[in-house]
Amino acid sequence: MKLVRLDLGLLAILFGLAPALAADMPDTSTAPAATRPSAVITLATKVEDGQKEIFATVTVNGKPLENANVSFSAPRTFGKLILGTDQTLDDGTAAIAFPSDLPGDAEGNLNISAEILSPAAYAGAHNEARMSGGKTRTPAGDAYPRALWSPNAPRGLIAVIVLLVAGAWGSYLFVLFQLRAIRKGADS
Amino acid sequence: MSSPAFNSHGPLASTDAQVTDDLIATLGRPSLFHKTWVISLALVALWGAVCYLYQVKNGLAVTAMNDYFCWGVYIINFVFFIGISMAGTLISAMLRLTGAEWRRPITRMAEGITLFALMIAGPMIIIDMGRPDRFLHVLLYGRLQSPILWDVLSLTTYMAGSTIYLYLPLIPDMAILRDHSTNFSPWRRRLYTILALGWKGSPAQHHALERALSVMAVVIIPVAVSIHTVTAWIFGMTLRPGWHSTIIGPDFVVGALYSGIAAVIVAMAIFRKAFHLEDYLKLEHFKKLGLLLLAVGIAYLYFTVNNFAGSTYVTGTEERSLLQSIFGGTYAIQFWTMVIVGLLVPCLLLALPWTRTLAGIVFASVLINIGMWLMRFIIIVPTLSVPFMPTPVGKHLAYVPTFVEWSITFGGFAAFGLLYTLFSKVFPIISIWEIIEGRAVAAAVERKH
Repeated sequence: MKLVRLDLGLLAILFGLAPALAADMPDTSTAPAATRPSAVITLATKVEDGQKEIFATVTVNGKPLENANVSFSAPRTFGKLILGTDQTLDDGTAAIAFPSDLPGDAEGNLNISAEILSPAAYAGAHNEARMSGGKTRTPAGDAYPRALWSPNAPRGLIAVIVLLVAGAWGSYLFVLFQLRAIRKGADS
Repeated sequence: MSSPAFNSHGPLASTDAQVTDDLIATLGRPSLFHKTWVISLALVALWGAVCYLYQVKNGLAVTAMNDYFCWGVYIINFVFFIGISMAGTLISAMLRLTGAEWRRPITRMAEGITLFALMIAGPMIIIDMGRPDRFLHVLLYGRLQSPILWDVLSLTTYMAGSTIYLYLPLIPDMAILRDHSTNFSPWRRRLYTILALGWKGSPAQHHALERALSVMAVVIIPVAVSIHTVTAWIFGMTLRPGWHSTIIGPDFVVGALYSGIAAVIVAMAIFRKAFHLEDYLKLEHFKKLGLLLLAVGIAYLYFTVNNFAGSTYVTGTEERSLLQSIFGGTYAIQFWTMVIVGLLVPCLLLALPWTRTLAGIVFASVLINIGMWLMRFIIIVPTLSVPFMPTPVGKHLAYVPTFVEWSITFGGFAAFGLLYTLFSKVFPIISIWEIIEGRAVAAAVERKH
């Protein structure tokens, strides 16, 4: 969208229509980008009433940001899995339940991301943290290890092929040494 | 074993110098017929190359291959050329190892056929590919369990071995040509000097050459058997009717011997006529090879009967449909032509003493090569016309090669002939030093008697 607006802006300038177009564009910032304070998000887990939760604390210039919509997600193979959204309280915290059924790495660690959706001035600010507590994911066992139809060739087959190929090419190498001997015979 | 009565090493009354001059004379200025022949072959090969470029540009849609007939005439050519490449190994290596003296004028022709047939067979696989640029993937990402990868490994090993095996007995001849350098242009002199490796014929050099030749003669036989077996396994290790057979490996090896010997006989007849080598390629050579061809032909007949007998007796639905199409259906003409032209008539011509003449043996060999090409067709196409996949209702599966496929096929055959012809004009087609050595052996045997 920003790119589209930028293109339209450039076109407007080119055709002298900038003032008119500018009036149609919504004002998405409350302060110039250079001076606008940035929002900082910190992520942590906490257990409350026996329930493990993810907390995101949003601060601006060290002060908690209230009523900010925060989206929690976990990066997966083909995109981000949205875990939930929450609005920050007066202490700047937003929280969702920890997704304990979500597969993590071999030790159960999950990458959790929090991103501000609104207000627009801080939208897009995000942070990511690694948290333990997900399901441990053990590598899938090979049902047919070293079988002809598995990705890995059986060791016996590897040995046979290597032996045959090495035998043939080793003989060729021997013949090349004999050719060298013939060449040397010419020099002597 | 040679006998004193059978002199297979050139004119009886000639000297070694005469033999050398005779065989060097084959490298002389080409006749008008020879030039026309080379230009014709080059034009056909060029036309084949142009058609291949057309195929690369437009894809395999220009062929008759489709989702059912994934293999066609290119794979038939591949198997055919792989088959005749067996010639060099059999004639040269086996006869060398068994000390058959009569091999001497034949070995180089046979070794040449092997190398040039492989040079055409290999590219046929790439020509068959819709995306030839992906050939490299076989090497980069190939699975060691795949018969395709075994074939690539085997083919490259065989090709390297055949090149070495062709080159080794050329070394003393290169020295002879180097020493007759006044007859040749500067580039030829330079080529012969380089390839001669400074050969002076010293005992040490002879010893090294003999050792190299002995090792190669032993190694090249299993390597050659492996390429024919592995090529057969590409078919046999699928579950397709007609291919999934335990004897398909040996069947291919025997078939390769059969077409390979026939190809050597045809080449011998052509060179005998073209280079006036009647004193070197005698009727006895043709007769000996003819008898060998007969023995292998009977073995191949046995394998063919064996292949079909089992499946005729116990058949599944697909197998029955395949056999019906081969014996009495769509492919009956090709099959029975192959049986009659490629097996029965040649074996009869070779078996009967009054047809076992030079013309009879050569004619039988030509028939065998035609029959064996048809046999490759019978192996590949009918099986693909009996797919496990359902076919659209009323659709009749048939494969008729297109003009592009025929052009590339003829281009391949022309390229083979061209390479062989050019080789015979640069290198002596009969090994000079082996003939001279054979004369010495024959003279020694004569003295003993």
